[in-house]
Amino acid sequence: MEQRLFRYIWSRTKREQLWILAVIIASMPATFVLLDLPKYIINGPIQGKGFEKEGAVQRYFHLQFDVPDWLPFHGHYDLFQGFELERMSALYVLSGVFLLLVIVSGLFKFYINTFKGQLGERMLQLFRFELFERVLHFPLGEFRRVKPAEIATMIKDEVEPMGGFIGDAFVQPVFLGGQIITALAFIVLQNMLLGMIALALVAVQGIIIPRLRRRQLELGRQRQLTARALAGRIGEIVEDMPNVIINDTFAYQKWDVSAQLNKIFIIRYALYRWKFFVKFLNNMIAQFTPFLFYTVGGYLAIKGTLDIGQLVAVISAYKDLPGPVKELIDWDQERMDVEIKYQQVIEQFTMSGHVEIIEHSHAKDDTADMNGEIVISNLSVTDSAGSRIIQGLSLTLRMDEHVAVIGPHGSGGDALVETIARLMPISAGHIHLGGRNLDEWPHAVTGRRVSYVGPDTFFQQSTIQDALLYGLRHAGDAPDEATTASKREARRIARQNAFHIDPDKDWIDYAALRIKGPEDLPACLAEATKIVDFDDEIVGFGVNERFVDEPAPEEIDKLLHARMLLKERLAGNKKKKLVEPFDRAAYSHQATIAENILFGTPISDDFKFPVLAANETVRKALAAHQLDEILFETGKDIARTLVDLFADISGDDTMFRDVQLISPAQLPNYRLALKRVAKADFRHAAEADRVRFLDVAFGYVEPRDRLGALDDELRAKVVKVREEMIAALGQEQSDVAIYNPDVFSLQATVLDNLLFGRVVYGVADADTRVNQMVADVLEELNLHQFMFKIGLSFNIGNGGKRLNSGQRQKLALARAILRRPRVLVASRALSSLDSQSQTAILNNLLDRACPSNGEDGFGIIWSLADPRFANRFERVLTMEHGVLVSDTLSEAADGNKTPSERLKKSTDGDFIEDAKVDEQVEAKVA
Amino acid sequence: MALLKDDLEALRRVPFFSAVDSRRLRLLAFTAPRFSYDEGDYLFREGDDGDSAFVIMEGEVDISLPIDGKEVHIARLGKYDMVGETSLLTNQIRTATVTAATHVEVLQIKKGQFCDLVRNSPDMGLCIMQNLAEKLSTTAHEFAALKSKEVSA
Repeated sequence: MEQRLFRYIWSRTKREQLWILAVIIASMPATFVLLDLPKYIINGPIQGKGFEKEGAVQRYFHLQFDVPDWLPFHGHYDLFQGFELERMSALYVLSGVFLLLVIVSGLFKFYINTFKGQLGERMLQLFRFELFERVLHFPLGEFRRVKPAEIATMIKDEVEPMGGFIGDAFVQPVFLGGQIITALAFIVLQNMLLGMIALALVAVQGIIIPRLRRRQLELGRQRQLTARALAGRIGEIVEDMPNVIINDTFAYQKWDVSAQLNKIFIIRYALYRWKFFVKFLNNMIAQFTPFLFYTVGGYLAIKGTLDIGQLVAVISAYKDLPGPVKELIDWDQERMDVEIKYQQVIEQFTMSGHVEIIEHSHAKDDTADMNGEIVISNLSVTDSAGSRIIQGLSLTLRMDEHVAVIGPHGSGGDALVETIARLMPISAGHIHLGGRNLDEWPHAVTGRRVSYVGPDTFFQQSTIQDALLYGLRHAGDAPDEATTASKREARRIARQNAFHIDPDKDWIDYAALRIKGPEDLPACLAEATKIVDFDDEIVGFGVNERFVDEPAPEEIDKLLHARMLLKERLAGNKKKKLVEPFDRAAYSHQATIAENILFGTPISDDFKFPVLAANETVRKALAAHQLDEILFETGKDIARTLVDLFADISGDDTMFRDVQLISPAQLPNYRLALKRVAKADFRHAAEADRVRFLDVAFGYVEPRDRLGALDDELRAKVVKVREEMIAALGQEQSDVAIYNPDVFSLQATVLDNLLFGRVVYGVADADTRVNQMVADVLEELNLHQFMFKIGLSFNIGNGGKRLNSGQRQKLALARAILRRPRVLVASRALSSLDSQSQTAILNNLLDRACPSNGEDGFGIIWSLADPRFANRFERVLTMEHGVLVSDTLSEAADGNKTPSERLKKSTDGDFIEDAKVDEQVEAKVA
Repeated sequence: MALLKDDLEALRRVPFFSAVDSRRLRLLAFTAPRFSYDEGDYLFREGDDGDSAFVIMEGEVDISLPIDGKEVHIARLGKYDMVGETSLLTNQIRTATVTAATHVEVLQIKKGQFCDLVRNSPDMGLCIMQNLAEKLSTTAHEFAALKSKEVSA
């Protein structure tokens, strides 16, 4: 990237800059004539000079010039004879021309400004794109050093002023300079002395002010650095929120940020003071000129050496002078400012010499080449601290071999896998994939054919489906081979792609999935997620979601049918009541009081839990049955019990984890509130306290909280209030969707709809059993696939954090196999799962990895967290201190058994095989 | 329905908790969920990941171990006994299977709560140690008896 801003701008926008310069030059005569014309109008028709005699005419617009004798083509040229006009018509014509010129020069300005704006914004877009492009190609080690928020703020905020400036970079000085020179030339032509005065003062302004502004720039630079640091710090703290909570560093983090803010304040304040001081000075100098004009010019006019028309013209010309001068100085200031910003950003993006844009080769995805062997010769790898993690490893693997790498943490197995995945640089030796050096393979091939799954997972916020398909977003990034003749051309095309965005493009490489289009996706994704045992969980997500789009009526019918079936089955389960169905005439014991009152799913925010106690409709309905007073007392009782219970317990005690009624942080507030209302009943309590204690009561569920706060009378009253509410809410149900056994509510989750009731508290595994029943019913009614599709649109949250770590690992593995890799490399990829799940998934995976009925298999190199799983693989490598200490073929690999057969065998002989491996390890070490 | 105050009464009678001060016990009674099992339901099975212990409030449970593919009954525990605490202490999978022999009501004590209790009531820790030591010596005796039988056979 260019080190100097001007060179960068010039190299990217040469053509446009020259064009706009030409337009500006073309606009100058109009500007000049516009300045000149008032003098003619005043002196001529208005004051009557030259029209002294009756019927006198004057010649206007006579274009002529002389070329001096010492030039070729010398002589007198008469371009246009002009017109002869009388005094009155001269006034009209000249004024008309004036109006015309005003319009023309206005249009010029309009065109110039929009062109500049477009130029600047385009360049800003390009510049941001190029910076982002650079970020994508940082070596991985670089990312451990920079804070993401700092990069974001650099690309987003710091380059922003550049956009405004780029359009002005060359144009503004020419434009303003032209104006200044025109105005000065005009003044000089009118009167040498006044011209010289104006010139001298402009020079003073132009020299002194920029000098004073240097300090301002330095302050500006500091402001930029501190603001960037602030963005980085805040980003980091937000990312680290769990640790802030765990370590109670709230106060420290507040202090930390506030110190940073203070630093910024000091810099910004200094900046303001200096800026306005310079402005003050600048204005002083600018206003000094008119002072001289009035005195000197007035003197000359009185003396008669300067006619009044000239003086007026000079003064009106001068009116146009301070503006451009000031703007030019501002431009200069902006130039320095932006230049500094540019350099600082560029510095960050080229901090290590080896940040080179790797040109993604778009060569045809030739997987046939990626056959044969993986040959590792004399491989050494060092970590960022410089210590060796792999030393002189030599090894040959078949591309389709299933290899386990075992060894303690840090023994080099993970590093080996990461190196093959190109996540770790090779410090010595080679890895050849199918006869070609790993580094020579274009990313276009390794990025499609080698899948990697690590122990830590991160997902961009998206739906499950998008997360699964991330590894297949390749379609369309490869222009035809013919057009990639030169790197420059490729880059130009890439840039054009950055500007011409097709919003409907889905980027999915359907060919790699071997399907025709989006309609086949769900089946394809179901297959991949089944291997990692994630498909049922996806159905579960679907069941726990609301519908975003209204499903087809036949689906709704099926779902209502499912609700009926479930109801029958739950009722048939005589042994134990698992779900308490909603019944409009009865209190639901398993739901909160609030839920009992609403008897529906809140739609508008005014009816959602935290503000419900303050809701007017609710309060009116409660008051009608004096339930507000009763519940207020109930709430007080509950709060009193809780305050008492947790009196000596600190807020971060594990005891608090499961308390849903009151958040521990609120306890002191409740203690105070209880004191306030100790002697006051509902009518005398403050509104805030009424809401507070009603709120507590609203959240109460008897079987869960077991405080004995409810009696039958109260329950009966709640049911009465419920009817009151339903009446008050009216037919349209725009605030609350009332539970209705015959209606599928789009406001509630699918599960709520299916169960149409609450899972009871206190029955062991009730949730699991109910979920199983739901899954069975869905399966029977062929709703499984439908719910799977809904589940695919589950939003996994920032970084995938709405999934637990086990689910994230499953998702990552499913993504890795979905795209049919040639080789799957993995490092502790299932470590978050319990051993039974790990076994099941590994079994499925190894089965899938063997070629069978038309499907190619793939190789696996897996660095295992738990060596007990090693015997499931054909070959086991044992690493220790970066050295390969044993390399054994699993005995089953000799026979022609399928992996499942082998597995069946090996599960029986788990420990025997382990012992064998151990022996071999020992033998090698010895 | 059993309410908090009933649970509290019951907890006071659990030998394990005799050393725990009543304030903590109340807290435990409040935060620990209460579950019911029907006869024949598993509380947990050998090999499961263990994340909680259970105090039996009502009914009886059978403890068994799979030996050579068959479930071998080892012991029956009843009201106010605690099961499942071993895997909380050892961080390992369940070493035995616990089945409800009758209708059973339990309080579930999660791992974090359990550790908190032990940390805050050293006497309870001691109680658990004694209990485990007793179990160990019983096992040792039984083992010795088995061995001598083998030798004599």
